[in-house]
Amino acid sequence: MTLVSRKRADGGLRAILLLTAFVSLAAVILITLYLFSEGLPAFRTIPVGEFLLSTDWSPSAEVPHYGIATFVKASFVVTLLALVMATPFSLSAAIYLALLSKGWKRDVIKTGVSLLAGIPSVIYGLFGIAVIVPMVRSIWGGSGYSLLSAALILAIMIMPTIINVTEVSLASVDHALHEASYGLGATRTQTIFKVIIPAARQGIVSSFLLGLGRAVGETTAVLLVGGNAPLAFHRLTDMGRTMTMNIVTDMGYAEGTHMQALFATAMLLYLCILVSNGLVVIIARRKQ
Amino acid sequence: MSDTVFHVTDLGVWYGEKHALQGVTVDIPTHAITACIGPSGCGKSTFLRELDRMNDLVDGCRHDGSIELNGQDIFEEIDVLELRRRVGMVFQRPNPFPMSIFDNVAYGPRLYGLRNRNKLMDLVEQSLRQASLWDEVKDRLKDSGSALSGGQQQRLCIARTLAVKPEVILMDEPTSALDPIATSNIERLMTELKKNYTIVVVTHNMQQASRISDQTCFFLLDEHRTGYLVEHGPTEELFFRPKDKRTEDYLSGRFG
Amino acid sequence: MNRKTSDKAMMLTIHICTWLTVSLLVLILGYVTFRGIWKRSSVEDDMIPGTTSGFVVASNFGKEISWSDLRRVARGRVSSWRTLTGNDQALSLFIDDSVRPALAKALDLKTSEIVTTEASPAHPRKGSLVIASSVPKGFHLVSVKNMVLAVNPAVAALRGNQQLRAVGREELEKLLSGSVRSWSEVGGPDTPVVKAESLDFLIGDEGAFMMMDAASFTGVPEGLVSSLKVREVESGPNLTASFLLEDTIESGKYGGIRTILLNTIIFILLVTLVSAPLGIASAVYLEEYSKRGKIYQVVSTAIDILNGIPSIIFGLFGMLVFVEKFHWSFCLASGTLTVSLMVLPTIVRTSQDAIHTVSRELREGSFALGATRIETIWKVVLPAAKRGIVTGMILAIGRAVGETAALIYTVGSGAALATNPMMPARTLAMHIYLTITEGQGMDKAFATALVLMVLVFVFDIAANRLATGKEHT
Repeated sequence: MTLVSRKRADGGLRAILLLTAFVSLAAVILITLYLFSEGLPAFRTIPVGEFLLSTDWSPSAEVPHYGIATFVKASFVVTLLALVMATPFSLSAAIYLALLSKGWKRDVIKTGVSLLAGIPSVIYGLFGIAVIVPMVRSIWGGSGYSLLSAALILAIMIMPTIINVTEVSLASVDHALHEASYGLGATRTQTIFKVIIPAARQGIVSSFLLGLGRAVGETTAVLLVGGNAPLAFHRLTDMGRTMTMNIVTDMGYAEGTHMQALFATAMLLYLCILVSNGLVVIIARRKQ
Repeated sequence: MSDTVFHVTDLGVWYGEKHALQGVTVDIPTHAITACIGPSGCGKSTFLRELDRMNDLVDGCRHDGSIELNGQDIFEEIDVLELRRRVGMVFQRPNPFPMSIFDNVAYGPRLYGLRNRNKLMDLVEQSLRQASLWDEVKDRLKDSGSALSGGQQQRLCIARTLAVKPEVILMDEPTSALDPIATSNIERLMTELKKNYTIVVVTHNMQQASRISDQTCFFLLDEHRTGYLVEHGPTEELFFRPKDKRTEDYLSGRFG
Repeated sequence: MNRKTSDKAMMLTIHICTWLTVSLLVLILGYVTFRGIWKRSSVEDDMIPGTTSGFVVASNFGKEISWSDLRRVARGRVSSWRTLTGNDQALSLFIDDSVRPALAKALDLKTSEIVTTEASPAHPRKGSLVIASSVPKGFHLVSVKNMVLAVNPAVAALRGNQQLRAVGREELEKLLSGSVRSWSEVGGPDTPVVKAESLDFLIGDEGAFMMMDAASFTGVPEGLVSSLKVREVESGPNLTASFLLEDTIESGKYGGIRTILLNTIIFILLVTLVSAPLGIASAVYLEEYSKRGKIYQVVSTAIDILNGIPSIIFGLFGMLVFVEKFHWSFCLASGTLTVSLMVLPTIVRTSQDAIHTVSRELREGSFALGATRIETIWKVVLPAAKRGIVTGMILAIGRAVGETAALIYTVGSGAALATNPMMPARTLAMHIYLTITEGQGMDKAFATALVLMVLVFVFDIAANRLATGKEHT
């Protein structure tokens, strides 16, 4: 190979590499564009207020109505509940991994968490139907297919996300702080809860935001255990339908304004995720 | 063939705003070992890296003055890839590629298009012999380069450089990461190699410089913390009858 | 409680919670494995076996037949046991003329709609089905599932967000024997259970139920009565070698998952083929070429955003672009490209990390020999970063293999082997999803789930091993 040909190859390939890097950028831009171009037209016929605040979702009625408030509420309730339920376990596991363990015990837990993270959502859904739903049915009554079941399954699914980020935050707290606290005679618990966790609080908040993003966007598992009834719910043991469930269920046969409404829902979902992930970035920047 | 390989005129180097080196003028003689000595941070390595334009890889690095290799300006008249073939570099910490010993040495020749298995084999053997490593590795050419000891790795890096048939070999503190026995092996090797190649070595070990080099360049930092060449000349003269008081002070240990 | 005790208590709590988390994993894995290996599912049936009057159904092959299947058989619509029991066995039908009227009545058909056949087989072939007045020699009785658990519509109505759809076998027995007082005990409304003696009673009383034969049930005008399914538990070995080797029959109702397994493997290969070069090339650009300026920031942010987008939105995007705009319709290509986009950020990030850790000295060694940037990257940097890059790939593929939301509206549901990328191709994860939502039975779903989990775990553990094993050389 001559010098010239080698240099030409170098220059050409550099251009190609730049292009590949732009694929990701192009993808984000295109996704945003497509979502918005399919979803925004919905508001030509549907008043924004009705869309967001009305609980009347009846696309096949004589006079169709497209209020997604029920679904937004359901997403909100399920996500919040999942976060609350996941917190004690995730926090414990993160503390254990970052501060309390080493050797084989730590490896076991670490592997366990990463395997939990790898389980596909459809299998979580399957497990939910087979175990969680009957359990909820026998303890709290109802059919078992409920928002509660969805929240339970979601809690398990987001634990690895929260654990990983929290662990890293806890572990990166300056050891000088540990020593200062112990040096003053504090117990382990006091040091962890009064010194280390506050020092890592930005990372911990980020981890919860990430868990929230994951929970809000989950589709398959909640679809299988949530009951999918589009009516308003009054108890946690009632069946419910989240935004994601609504999109997936109706998309198969929707047309016209109905489909636009579904894309508008997807838009809303997308914006929620962008906001929560954006907050994570802002928090990270503020740290510096 | 002339007896000067490099002709450096008024070389100055900037890293962004920092003026790292200034006004270096020196001739590097052929088939000899030229040592660059001086305290840490006074621009010796910067000077070395200018000779094969490795500083091009550093963002914001500029230079002025000129460097000629056998009469050709290395910045204007010689292609940088060709320059680096003719002027090889051995680094402070041995850096064998994560490949077999054979592939390490064959890496350079393969870049330039040599594919013939037999020719490669001959070239690899020749380079390893020249680097005094052949006998130790001839039975395990397929082993990974990183499986060797520190001293062997450094000799492997030298063999790798020799395989592209350079004219000059630059060495940046080649023995500072090695034990005394490996160090003396390398020093012996350098003395052998100078018969066929020109060697420029940066070292902070004055004893090493006085042991093996033919010419020595002494660098210092001025009051603006810019490196400059204080004096240069035949090693014996510089060490025993230095012309500059600062050289004398350094050699007798007053500073540096 | 003094500080030391409360400290110990909190430490204990943390330990327990942590190990509980892992035991969750064990629970889930164990359960799926157990159900995958051993059938134990509830099968919900519209009808349960009952007696027939005026005729019997006999066979030397199957043991049970549903009322609706018998109806199709009687009309001459069935030539193979395939749709009845899943076996590829030809069905030979013999109906004795004398029982025709009774049969027609039981099946809610006109006598003329029943097909004519030989009266009885001279030499009965395997797969014969005989409808006669008695069970012939060499045959066994086939039970006909023709009884419906009919209830007043109020019992099965949607109450807010709850609805009673089925009862278990034992619950049915309790209902019949009268030991259940209120429907709320079996998941229904709080109305007293009343066993109806007549159709009028059934229609009139809000808590009434009655076992009706299918012909009568279908004769009732719509809306006056509803029915509940009955759950029965089957057990036996589930995932067998034949499951893996057989093709799907009737979209997964019967048969195995051979082609689905193959489709999944093809899917994995294609996703790797598309996303690996793109991802690694992007990482190379970001780490080796960019000056960490505006372009770097923008691309990095884009990758982070892409990473957080939920799979359903990728699915919608894929549907809009590949399925509709490109007119590819539901096919392997649409699904592959959609999922490749999804896993791209993972590959870029991990490859970036791996490349980043390659030492500067290694690069300089290559440059000093006169190599170009590309040569250095290709021959020295990438090989040195190989381990990290491959780990990232494996993680990405593990994620792709379990995907459903992104594939529902892109890859299609055809279970046959996809021989070109424009064909639909059901993957393991999609099959599980469809098996559940189409009500094809939990056993098949679990068997498939076990296979999927083994696949995912092989990937996970391989990635783990790679990531934590230190360089020996």
